[in-house]
Amino acid sequence: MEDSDKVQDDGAKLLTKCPINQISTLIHRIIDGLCEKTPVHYEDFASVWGLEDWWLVTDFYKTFCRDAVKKACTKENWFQILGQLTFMLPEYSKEVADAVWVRRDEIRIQLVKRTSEISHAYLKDFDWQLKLVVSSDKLASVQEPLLSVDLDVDATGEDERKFVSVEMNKADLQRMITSLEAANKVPQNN
Amino acid sequence: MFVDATAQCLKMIKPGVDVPHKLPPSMSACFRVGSRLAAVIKEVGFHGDAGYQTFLYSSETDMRRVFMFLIEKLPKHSVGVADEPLGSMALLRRRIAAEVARRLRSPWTPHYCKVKDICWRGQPPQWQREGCSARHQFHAVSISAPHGQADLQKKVPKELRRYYTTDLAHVSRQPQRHCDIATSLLESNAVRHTAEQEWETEWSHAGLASRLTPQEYKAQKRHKRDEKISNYIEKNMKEVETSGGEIQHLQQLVDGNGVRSSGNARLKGSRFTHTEKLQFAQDVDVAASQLTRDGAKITSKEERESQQQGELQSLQDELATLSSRLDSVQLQVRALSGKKQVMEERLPTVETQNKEKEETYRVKKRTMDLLPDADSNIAKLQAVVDASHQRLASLNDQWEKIRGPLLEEYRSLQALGQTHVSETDKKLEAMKEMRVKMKELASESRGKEVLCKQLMSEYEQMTKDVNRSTYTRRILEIVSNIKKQKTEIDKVLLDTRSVQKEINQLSGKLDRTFTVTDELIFRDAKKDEATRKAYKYLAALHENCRLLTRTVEETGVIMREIRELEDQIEQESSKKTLSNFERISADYREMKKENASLIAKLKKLEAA
Repeated sequence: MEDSDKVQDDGAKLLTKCPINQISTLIHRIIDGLCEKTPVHYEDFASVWGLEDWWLVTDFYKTFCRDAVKKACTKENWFQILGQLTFMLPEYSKEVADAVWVRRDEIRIQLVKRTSEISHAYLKDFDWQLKLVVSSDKLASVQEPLLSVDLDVDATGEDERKFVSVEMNKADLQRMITSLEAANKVPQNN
Repeated sequence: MFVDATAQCLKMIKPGVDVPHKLPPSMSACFRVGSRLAAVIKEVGFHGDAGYQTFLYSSETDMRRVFMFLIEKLPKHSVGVADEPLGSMALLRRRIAAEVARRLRSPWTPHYCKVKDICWRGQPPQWQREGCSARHQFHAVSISAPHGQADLQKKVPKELRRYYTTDLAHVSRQPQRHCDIATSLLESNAVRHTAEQEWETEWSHAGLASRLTPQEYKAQKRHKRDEKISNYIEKNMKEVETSGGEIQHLQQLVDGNGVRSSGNARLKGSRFTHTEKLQFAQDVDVAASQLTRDGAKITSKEERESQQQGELQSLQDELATLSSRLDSVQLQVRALSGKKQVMEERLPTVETQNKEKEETYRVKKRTMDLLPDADSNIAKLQAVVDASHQRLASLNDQWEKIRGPLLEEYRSLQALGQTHVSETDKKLEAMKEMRVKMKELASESRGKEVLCKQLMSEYEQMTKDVNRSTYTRRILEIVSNIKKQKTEIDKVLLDTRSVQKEINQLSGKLDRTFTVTDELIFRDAKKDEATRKAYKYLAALHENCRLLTRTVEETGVIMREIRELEDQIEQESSKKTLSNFERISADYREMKKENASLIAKLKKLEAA
C-alpha cells in the first residue's frame, strides 16, 4: 500500500515539472486516449520527462480521470482531492480539474460502454454490405439481393477478436432481425 | 412446356377455365388434352388453324402464332401494374449492365498504376474503383465537436470555451486511423438523427397524451427508471444478506443513484440501466467470493492452525452463547413489542370511552344544579329553545338565499370546465392527425421526387426524335410509290378498256359488213350458180371464224382457271397436309393399338 501511495505521490508531484500552459493539453490528450481517440504521444513531452517518469504521470492521471468521473463528484471536490496531494500547486490542480470537468460526459459514456462489455463474449461492432446477384451460370437473370454481415465479436475470456461473416438473403435477414429485437426487449422489460 | 405456357395464358385470359398443364403419357389422353386446348383457344377467338396436332407436334411458326395471339389477349391492366414498380429496378439493372459493359471494354491495369484502387479512365473519363485491395472495415469511433455555439446569446462557460479553442483536436485528427474519419462522421450523424427521430415518435405517441411539457416528461421517465433500478437492487440485496458492510455500500450506491443518472443522456437510457444492473450484480458476487477467499487464506497457514484452533473454538463457543442469548432476547423483544402493539391499539378506544364519560358527567352535573329552581328554569329553557328555533329558521332562509346563486355559478363553471376539456381533447386529436398527415405528405412527396428523377433520367436516356423524321420520310416515299403504282394501274385499265372498245367496234363492223355482203350475194345467188357457191363458202367461212374466236376466248378462261388452281395447290402444299395426314394416320394407328391392348386387358379381366 505504501509503495502505491508513493507512486501516486510521485505521479502527482512530477506533473509540476511540466510548464503550466501545457497542462490542459496533456490532460485532454490523456482523456482522448481513454475515449478511443488519438492517444497522447511521448514525443510531444520528451523534453519535460524521462520515459519512466512519463509512464508514472500518465498512469496516475488516467486513473485519476476515471475515478473522478466514477465517483460523480463536483468540481470543487476534485479540486480538494488534488489539493490534498503533497507537492501540488493550486493553479495546477485547477487546470486539471477544469479539463476533467469539461470532458466528464465523454468519459462517463466511455465508462458505461466498458461496463456493458462484461459478458464473456459481446458484439463490438458490425458492418454490412448489400450485394445484388445479377446472374449465375444456370440462370441469365437472378436479381436476388444478398446481405453480407460481418460481426466483430470480442471474447473477454480469451482476449481475442473474432470476425463472423454471414451472407443472408431476405428471409434470413428478417429472421435475424426479429430474433435480435426479441433479445433487445428482454433487458428493457425487466 | 408449350402446353403448360398455353394453359397458364388461357387461365389468365379466362379465369375459371379448367385446362390441364401437362401432357399425359397415353396417346388417347394426349389427343383429348390437345383437342380441348384447341377448342378453348378457338373459343377465345383464335382464327388460325389449330387442332390437337398443333400442341402435340408443335412447329415453331404455329407456336409463334398461338403465343402472339395469346399475349395480345392477356389482360392489359395487369401488365401496366407490373410495369410501374419495376421502374427503379429496371433502371438499376440497366445502369449495372451499362457499367459492366464499360468496364469490359476498358483494358486491365496493374495495381501500381492505381492509387488505392481508384483510377481515372473510360470514354468519357470517369473516376472508378477497380479491385478490392484497398477496402477497409466500416469502423467508427465517437467524435466530439463543439455544440451550443449557434445561439450567440447563450454564455459558454470559460473552461469549455478554452477547451474548444485550444485543445479540441480537429475532427480529422480525432480517430486513430485516418480511414475512419468518414465512417465516424457518418456514424455520429446517424446516431443523432435516430435519437431525434426516436424522441419524435415517442413524444407524438406517449408524450402528447400525457399533457406534460417535454422537460417534465423526461423527468418523469427518468424518475420511473431510477425507481425500477433501485427496486431491482433492493431485491437482489435481500438475496445476498450475508455481508452487512457490502449492503451498506450498495445502499449508498442506491442513494447516490439519482445523482449519478441525472446527467444521463436519454438515448442511452435502456442500455445504461441494463449495464448498471449488471454492474451491481457483479459487485455483490465479488464481495461474496472475497469473503470465502479470506477464510481460505487463514486455514491454509499450518503453523498457526493449532494455535488458532483453540482461540477459534473459544470464540465459537462464546459466539454460540451470545447468539443463543441474542435469540432469547430477540424473542422477548418480539413478545414485548407484540404486547405494546395490542396496548397501542387499545389506547384510542379507552380514550374515547373516557371522553364520553366526561361528557355525560358534565351534563348530569348541570341538570343537578338546575333542579332546585325547576319551573323558572324550564321556562327559561323554553325561551332559549324558541329563540334558537327562530334563529335556525332565519339562518336557513339566509343560507337558501346565498346558496341558490352559488349553486348556479358552480354549475355554469362545471359546464365551462367540461367544454374546455373536450376542446383540448379535440385539439389534441387534431394535432395527432396533423402529425400523421404531415408524415404521410412528406413521404409522398419524397416518393414523387424519386419517381420524377427516374422519369427524367429515362427521358434523357431515350433517343430523341432523330428517328421520327426518317420514319416520316420513309412513309412519304412509300406513299409516293403507291401513287405511282396507282397511276400505272390506271393506265393499264385504260388500255384494256380501249382495247375492249376496239374489239367491240370491230365486231360490230364485221357484223354489218357480213350482213351487207350476205344480202348482196344472196340477191345474186338467185341468178347465178357460181355466186350461190360463193355464198355457201361465205357462210361456212363466217361460221368457222366465229368458232375460232370462241375457242380463243375459252382458252383464255381456261388459262386463268389453271393459274388459280396452281395458286391453290401452292397454298395447300405450304400447309403440309400430306405430312399432317401421315401423322394423323400414325396417331390413329397408335390409338387403335392402345384400344386393342385395352380390350385385350378387359377380356383378360373378364375371363379372370
